[in-house]
This record gives sequence, structure tokens and C-alpha cells, in this order.
Amino acid sequence: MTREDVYAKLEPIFRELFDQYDGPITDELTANDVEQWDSLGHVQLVVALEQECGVRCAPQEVTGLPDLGALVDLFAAKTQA
Amino acid sequence: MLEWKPPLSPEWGEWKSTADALLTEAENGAELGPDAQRQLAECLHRMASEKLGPMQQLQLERLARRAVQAVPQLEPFRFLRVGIVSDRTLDFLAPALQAAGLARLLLIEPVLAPPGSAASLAFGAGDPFGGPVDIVLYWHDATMTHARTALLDTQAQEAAIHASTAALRQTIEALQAKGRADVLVSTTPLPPAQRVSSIDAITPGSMAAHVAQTNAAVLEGAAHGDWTVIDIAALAADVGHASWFDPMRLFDLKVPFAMELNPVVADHVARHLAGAFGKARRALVLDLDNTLWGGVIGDDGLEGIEVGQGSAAGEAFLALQQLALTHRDRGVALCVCSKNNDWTARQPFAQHPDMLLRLDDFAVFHASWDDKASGVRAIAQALRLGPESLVFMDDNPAERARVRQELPFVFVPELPEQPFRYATILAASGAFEHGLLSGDDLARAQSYGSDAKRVEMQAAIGNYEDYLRALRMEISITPFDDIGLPRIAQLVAKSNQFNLTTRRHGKDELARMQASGDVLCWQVRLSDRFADHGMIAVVIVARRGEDWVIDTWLQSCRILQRGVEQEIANRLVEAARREGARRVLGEYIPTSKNALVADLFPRLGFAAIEAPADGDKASQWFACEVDGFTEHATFFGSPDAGRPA
Repeated sequence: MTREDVYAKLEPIFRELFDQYDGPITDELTANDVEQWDSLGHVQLVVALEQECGVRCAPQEVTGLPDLGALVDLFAAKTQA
Repeated sequence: MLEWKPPLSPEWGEWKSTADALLTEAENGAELGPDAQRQLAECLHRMASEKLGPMQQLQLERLARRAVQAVPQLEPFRFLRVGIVSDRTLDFLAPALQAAGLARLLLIEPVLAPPGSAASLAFGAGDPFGGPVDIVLYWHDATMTHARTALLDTQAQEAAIHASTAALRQTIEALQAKGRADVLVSTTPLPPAQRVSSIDAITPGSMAAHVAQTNAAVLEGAAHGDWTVIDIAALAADVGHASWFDPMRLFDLKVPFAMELNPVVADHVARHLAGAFGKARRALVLDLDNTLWGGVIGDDGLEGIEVGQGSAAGEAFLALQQLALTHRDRGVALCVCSKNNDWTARQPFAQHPDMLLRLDDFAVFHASWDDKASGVRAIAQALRLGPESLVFMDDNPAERARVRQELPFVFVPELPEQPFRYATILAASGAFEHGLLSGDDLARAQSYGSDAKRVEMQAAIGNYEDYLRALRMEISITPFDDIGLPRIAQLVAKSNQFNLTTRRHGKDELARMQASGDVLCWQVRLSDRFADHGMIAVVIVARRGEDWVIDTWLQSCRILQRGVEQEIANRLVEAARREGARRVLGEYIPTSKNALVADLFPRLGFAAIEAPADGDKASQWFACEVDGFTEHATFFGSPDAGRPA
């Protein structure tokens, strides 16, 4: 998948999970910008994206990511393989 | 998984928009009218009843969360505050549980206890639920309470299991006290990584033995009514342990099952809650051709239909019949809804030797050429149940769609073309989930049956007098006696609607009246061809010389329109005449609940009069001249049996 494909999958999930955030969804977005994006929210986001993209990530791959762009990169790379 | 759910409808998006718009209105403080509430409830239930993809699941979870907040009292849903305590991480289950509740007619507010072991929450200070809950779900994980003992040391293992189950019991009891609610306790599936041989379960110190014995203790406590059980071990086995366990998520997040199964587990919990809070289904409505047997009885005839041993499909239909009987035994009313001539449809039940189900097993038998939605609606009315109490099984997708469209709260399991999984799907749906069974549950199917057959007959027989005759009612009117007194006292203490004076005489006073020669005391019993209704009326009359004064006259409302009151009036006037009285006086004391009998005396031929000298001026008084009385026509068999002397 291209980064655009991943965004197309990610955006609706993101909007449902974090429905109190209505700002733009960009590479630079971090958990600090979105109140509902806590550790539980992060796992829900990852699991939903995994199901939509048909891939799985190891815990160490999805923790400590600097921003949303890094998550998108991860899924773009995973779906290449 | 969730095999009974139909695939997503093209309308799913529309339902979502409608629900979203109505919820937004409610969130903005608007009071939703009855139509809007109905529409919202229908949309939410329809959306939740279908097979959802991950995206729809997320969307539904959000709508459910909003609905619980904005419209917690939405009919026909039941609002439940559910405390959740877990030895593992169950945070992820909460949103899915809200979504699953919508399919099970529940609006669930999950209250996650703060992180920590169940025991520390149970015994610690403070209220882990921040207020009262309706029930506590305790997700117990027995793999966490395994004390390592020497592998073959039976004694040590027995001591260890004794200690761990005693601690479990104390934790559950403390949770009961904390939540002031019943506790739903899970059993534990055995992770494959904890089992290394086929004889693990009989090797004393093994994890397998520990889990099996802990599960047995959880089940035993539930059998004693100490708590309620949710058999998660059985669910995990149904799913398959290979899919159930996800070690990565367990080690990473302490989630006890694969997160993809969240909707499945949530539905299973919701199904138990529905069973515990009166939202399980009560009646199973079955199509006939290609649902209960193979082929079309109207075309293929008795010899042509496929049912019974000897063919794979025939056995599959038999399995569904067997399951229907199992449900019937547990108090579920069985009904037929078939597009057929009535006689044709009944034929296999009466004459086919391989059929398990017989005509007697059904509460309502509806065979006609009406469309199925009207048929199901008529069945609901006959059973005096709402559509949300019904399950409708039909092999024909068009009929299923029709019923889903017209009656969105009827549960309509999706069925494949071939019959092999019909019984499996119905059982897995858990539509008839129940807690510990009581004798009342078992009697219920019988009572549905007799009530419903009466309604059917009433519909079939246009003439009401013929209907009453066909009921073959028998009435027994006898003086009070010691055996009847407790029930008499109960009726006197409780009857509100058909009660002319609402005088609450105590048991001692009733006994005194029974012994007094000045008071006529009658207890009335009724039976008919379908049921024995037991004691259904009490009449107390003071004999005051020429005037008899009715002190108390009450009847059960279950037997209105049967001519019971007319028969009592006939007998009363007859007795008065025999004993030389001139008038029977009736008194009506209006209350907020007894408007039903405001016109009883005029209907029975009594005339309004002024209050007698010693009578209460606030009451309405009526009198019947014994000599001018015309006997009412009634329809009771053996009228002389039980006539009081």
C-alpha cells in the first residue's frame, strides 16, 4: 500500500475512535494533540488498522513511534511485503 | 463466528445516518417524540443485528456509547450499569459490550473497576464502581491462581485447590457486597501452552488439573445460587483455542483473548445479561417446509417429505426438532408460522412416524396464506408477547427479509441453504439464554399453550357463545374452608381491579366470618379444557334479614368475559330467594384502580338506590329485587356440581 492508501484506511478509523478531535489528520499529529489518543486508544487504533490492512505488528514496532506519520510508514512498509 | 447474523444490508449507512441525526438531536437537549424514539431504537437494533466489518464495528460502538449517554431509557431496551472486574485487561471489551448490547436489547453502561487484582478491589477501601451497578462481571483467570505443588503430590494439590477456591469465593462475596449486585463469574479456558500431555487433567500438580477443578468450583457455586456463571471456557472451545488465545497480546497487554474476538466475547456477555434481566427471547416461531422437514408437504405429500434417520438432511431436520423440544422443556413457547392450508400443515405432526415434534408441543399453530410478517404478528398477539420476545426461523431468505423489515425487533437468525447447521446456529445464537431454572419456567410453556389455543379458537369461532360453550368451563362455588383460606386472604389483600369495595379483611377476620352464620362466604374456582385456573373469585355477603348486603366481591382479571360474574349473580339471588330475603344490595367504592367494575351492578340488572340507613353515603349503592330478577345466560358445564347448600 502507498502512504495514501494507508491514510484512506486510517482516517475513518481515527475519526470514529477519537470523535472529539476534529482537526486535520497529518503526519505531524501526535498523541499529545488528541485527548482520546491514550494508550488504550493507541492499541485500538493499531488493531483496527491491522484488521483493515490484513497485517499484524509486534508490540515493539508500534510503541515509541514519534508521530502519526511514523505509524503510516510502518503500515505502508508492512503491506509492501 | 456470529453465524446467525445476516450480512450487512445496503441500508446500513442510512440507519447510521438516521441514528446519528436523532442522537445529535437528543444530545442537543431535544426531547425525542415517540416516533423518533421508535425509529432510533429500530435503527440501532437493526445495525447491531448484522455481521459487521471492523469499520462498522467502530461506528456502532461510538453510536452505542452516545445512545447510552443520551437516551438511556429508550424502549424496548433495558438500561444496565455493569461493573467489570478482571484479573486481566478488559478495557477493550467495554466499547464492544455497548455495541453488542444493542443486538440483545440492552443499553449497557460499562463501569471498569480501576486496575488492580480483583481481590484488592474487593477487599480494598472505596467503591470500585462509583455507585450502584445492576450486575458485576468478574473475569476470573484460574491460570493466575495455580500454586505450584509437586507433580504427583495429591494431598498438596488438594490443599492448594481448597485454598485457591476458598479465596475465590471470598473475593466473589466481597464483590457482591461492594456492588450490592449479583456477580457473573467466568470459567477459564486452558491455554494450549499449559498442557503438555493427554493426561494433564489427571496429573495432580498440573495447570490443567487446577483449571478444571477451579472451573468445577465456579460452576458448583452457581448451581447453589451463590453467584451466576458465564462459561467462557465453553465459548473458547466453540471458537477454537487456536484462534482464542493470542499470546502476543496476552504478554503485551494482558488481554485474555485475541482482540479480533472482541465482538464475539462481547455478544456472549450481552447474551448472559439479556438472560439475567428478562431480555432473552421467549417463543420460537418455526416455518415448516424445508425448515422442520425437507420438501414441501403440499406438493410432495407425507411420503415425499424428508425427515428422520436414513438421510443426512432428514437427520438435520430432526436435530432442529430435538433442539426445539429442548427449548420447550425449558419454558420456551413453540409456534408454527407456515404458508399452507391448515390441514395440510398439521398432517406430518399427526401422521408422520419420524417426526419428533407433535401438535401438542405447539402453543400457536398458524398456517394460512397470509404473509409471514402478519402471521408472526398474529402469533405475538396470541401469546400476548411483544415482537422482541420472538425468534423466527425460516429457510427462505425472502421471508426472513420480510419479517426483519416489518418487525425489526423479532430475532431472525440467518440460515444457510442446507439444513445441516440449523440446530447449531440456533443454539449458538443464545437467543433463549437463561439462568437457573425454576418450576415456574417449566410451567410457562404449558400456560402459553393453553392461553394461545384459546385465542386461536376465539378467532376461528365467530360466535362468542359458541366459544364459551366450546371451552367446557366448570365452575365451583363453595363456602370458605380452611384449605382455601390462605388463598382467599391473599386475594382479599391484593385484588385491585375487579374489586367492588377493596376491603382488606385480615385472615383472622375472614376465619371469623367463615364461622359466623350471618355471613355468606363463597370461594369460586374455575377450570376449562385448557387449564385449571384455581380460585378466581371471593364473595362475602352480610345477611341482614330481608336485605342481603354484598360486603366484598372480587375476581381475578385473568378470567374476564367468561360469564363468571353473571353466574355468581344468578347463584346469589337464588340463595337469597331460598332463604327468604327480598333484596340483594350492592356497594361500589370507587378507587383509582377499580373503574373496571364501575358499571358491574347495572350490567347485572341491579338498580341504583340511595345509600341505606347504615350504609356509607360516599359509596354508590345498587339493589336487586329478588322477585324481579331475570337469570343471566351462562355457559358452565355440570352446573349442579359444587353448588353450595
